[in-house]
Amino acid sequence: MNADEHLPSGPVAATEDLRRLIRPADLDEIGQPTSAPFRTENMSVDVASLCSLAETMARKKDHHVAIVRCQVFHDLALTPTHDPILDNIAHAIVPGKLSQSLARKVRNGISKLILAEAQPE
Amino acid sequence: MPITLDAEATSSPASHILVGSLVSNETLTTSRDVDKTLVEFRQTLQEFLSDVPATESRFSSILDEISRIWSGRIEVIRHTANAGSLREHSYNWRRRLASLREWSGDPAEAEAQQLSDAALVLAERLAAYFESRQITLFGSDPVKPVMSPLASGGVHLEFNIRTGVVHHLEIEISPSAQEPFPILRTIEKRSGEICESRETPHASELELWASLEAFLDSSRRLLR
Repeated sequence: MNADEHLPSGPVAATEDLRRLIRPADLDEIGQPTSAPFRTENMSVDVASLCSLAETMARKKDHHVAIVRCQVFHDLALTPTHDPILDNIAHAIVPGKLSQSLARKVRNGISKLILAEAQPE
Repeated sequence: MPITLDAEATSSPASHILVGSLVSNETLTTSRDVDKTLVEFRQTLQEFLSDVPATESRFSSILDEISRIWSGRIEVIRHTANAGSLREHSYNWRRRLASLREWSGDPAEAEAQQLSDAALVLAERLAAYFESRQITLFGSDPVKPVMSPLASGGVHLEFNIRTGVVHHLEIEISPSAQEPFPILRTIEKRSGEICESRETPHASELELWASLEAFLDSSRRLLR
């Protein structure tokens, strides 16, 4: 079965929270994310209402999770789009590649950072 | 909740170094627990500093940072009940660089399998230059170069001067380590609001080094 045939896709509502996985090496000198993970082309995120936090964290056990309200993207004229895939119906992408200044604004829009178990640097 | 503080003063040429570590034998599962622990940590650190008044001013920035993390805009939640996860975040750019040399990306996530040697070498040169210039200017290196992997196989390099506001410089090095170099310079409030922003998406290598030198000059003024 192709998930795309049965699951809706389209713009994610501004009221949704989006979860972005953050690699251990993406933390700065005081333990907060750099802009680097937000410079990935077609950045992947999870739509929070479509999967649990545990499911997001289980995708990459050594990764942290940054939560950004979708409104932050909308305010920057960006349109996160629901893009369900076979092993993740909550998957969405932010189309294109953010400029450095937009990536910085998204990074500064993080509302919560959930840390994975401590990893060696 | 037991809190211990390990303080270590060294006679390194750079400066004295204070290492604070937060150790708990109890389970911390909620952000409220973490907040409570940080309050206790701050108190413990203040008690320690009161015993060493001559050096207190050196460490006031540590207290500021703890207060900022504690009451910061980004709510940090420790996911695990493992007490070891509450170790104080300790950053060293050479250790980060070594880990980036071993980094392996996930092709399924459109990440490069490894970071480019050329990009890592240039990042190391920039960071080492910045560090040596700071030691010349200040006798210490208060601003730490931060390196992060880019999905392309390049390296993201950033510097933050944390005073009342955050002066931020970030540079991207492509896998080829060739021009152009995207550069972003911002001044941000602690809340994250960007007051000033200047992005140069196609900087030359000369502009890259010049931006680093200009940032050092700013740090000399701001951290004096």
